[in-house]
Amino acid sequence: MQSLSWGGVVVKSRRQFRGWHWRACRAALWFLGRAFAAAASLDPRVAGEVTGWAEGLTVLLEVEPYGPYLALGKRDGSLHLLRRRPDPADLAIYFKNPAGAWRVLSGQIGIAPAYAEHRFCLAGDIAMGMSLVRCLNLVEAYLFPPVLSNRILKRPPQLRRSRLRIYTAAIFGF
Amino acid sequence: MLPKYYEFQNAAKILSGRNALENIPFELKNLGASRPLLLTDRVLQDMGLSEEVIRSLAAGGIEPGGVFADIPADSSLEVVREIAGLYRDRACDSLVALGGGSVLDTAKGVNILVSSGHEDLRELMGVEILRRRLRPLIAIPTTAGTGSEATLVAVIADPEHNIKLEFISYHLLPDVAVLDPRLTLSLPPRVTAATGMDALAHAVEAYTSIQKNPVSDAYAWSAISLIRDYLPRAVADGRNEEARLAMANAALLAGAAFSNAMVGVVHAIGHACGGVSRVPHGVAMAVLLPHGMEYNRDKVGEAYGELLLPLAGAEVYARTPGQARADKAIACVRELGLKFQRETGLPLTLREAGVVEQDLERIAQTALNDGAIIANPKEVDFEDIMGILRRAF
Repeated sequence: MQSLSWGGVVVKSRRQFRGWHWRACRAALWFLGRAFAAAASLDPRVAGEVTGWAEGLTVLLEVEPYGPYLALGKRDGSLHLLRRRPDPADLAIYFKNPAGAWRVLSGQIGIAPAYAEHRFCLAGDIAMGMSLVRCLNLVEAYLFPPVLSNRILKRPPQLRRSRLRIYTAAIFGF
Repeated sequence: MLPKYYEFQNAAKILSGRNALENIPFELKNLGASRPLLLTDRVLQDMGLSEEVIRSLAAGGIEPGGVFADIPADSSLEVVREIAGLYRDRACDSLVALGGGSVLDTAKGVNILVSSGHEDLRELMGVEILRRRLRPLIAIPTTAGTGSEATLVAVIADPEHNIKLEFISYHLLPDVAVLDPRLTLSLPPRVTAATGMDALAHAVEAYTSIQKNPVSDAYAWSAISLIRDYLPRAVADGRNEEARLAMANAALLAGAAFSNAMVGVVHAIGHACGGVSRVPHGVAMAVLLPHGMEYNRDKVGEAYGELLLPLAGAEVYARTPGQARADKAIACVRELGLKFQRETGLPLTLREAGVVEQDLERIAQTALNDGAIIANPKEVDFEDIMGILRRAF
């Protein structure tokens, strides 16, 4: 276990920061990543955004201060989940804390209101960030039922695939 | 309605009024600085304004470590690197920026480099990435429009890669904003009108964005009231010091408002018009503001109706029925633009502003990737932007 000093108070380990928000975020990011990759191959709008990304581009969504994270990369023209955390990532969204991250990942607020509430920082090209936001909005429209997506998205997009198809692809990989 | 959560910061100490320049040495000493680097542009140097600032500093016992006056109309990465090198060579400890948005943005970019120790500004692009205080920065605006003296944004062009680098951080806020009426007396009427419309667009969009909050609303409201009363006077008589100072205050208030509440589709498209078709920013705002308001009207019409009061005054507000106030507010903005078109030749269509029809799609695509879009109250896609552009063309 790694001892840390924080504000003069020694804390025993990073595990002390891993409350239920942290664990819930980790599960949500795991699923979000798989759903994102699925949508990138099944929804032409997400695929179109990814087409515009540079080959080899890395994207990181991370919860500060001690993770969890979701890493994506564009390889051979398509979007893949990355096992290793890219350092540095070409584009990174850092949620300031697990509580704020959970509000977004659980569908309590959308990405735009999360930005308005300063829930995250963004490192990298903001124009690229807007493309990522459009993708995340589409993925959220698939993941969340209408009662949530109608509330958190300014204008819920029309779904080109069924939610079941995206869920199946996210869970089983096809 | 109170937002569930908001943040607000306006760090700049404001010096506004007669002899504001002469107080700069006192403020530098308060900030622990004694050897500033003065940044400005050739036009202001030729007009003698930079010399006036140097005299004010000398009167307070401060000698600049250097003066850099070659800042171009668009701040660029190369210029920022050059100035940062000069700052280090001359062992400066602060920055004094005299000029419009480009000079102020350049100063912010330089401040990032000299404070962070990074060599490549691109490594620090983004939103709330800067994690430490920067060197003291005193902003002396010479236009009454951008509000850069009170904003947390800097945009620096990277001509080599043909992109604009955007930096958003509370640490970019200048420590002091100096509003001296002497500095805007010589602005031509058309520039006065265009920069004034820019300030109006800041205030209106801040009042209706998804990031609005009670504090930014108060700033935006005050800004619009000042613009209503003083912009026509400043356009009609540039030597009117009271009007000039009021507009400088309006621009700062509007800048502080949008710094803490963001802007929206009008600015997203306006930035794109500037990037693709070289339309001056204030002109783009004058053209696009009423069209952007019409686009958002079904979402934030109630807020537009509230804004009729500072836009048109109490009498017009009182005699306009409630359901008609939003349309009347948009009409007021149009009428202001028409007035300035008659008096100064300010363009009111994109065609008049020099945009060609073949560029509209590229403008729309560029606007989609502008960060301002995220705070617009209504969703905006490519077709929506094209609709606004065609109506404004």
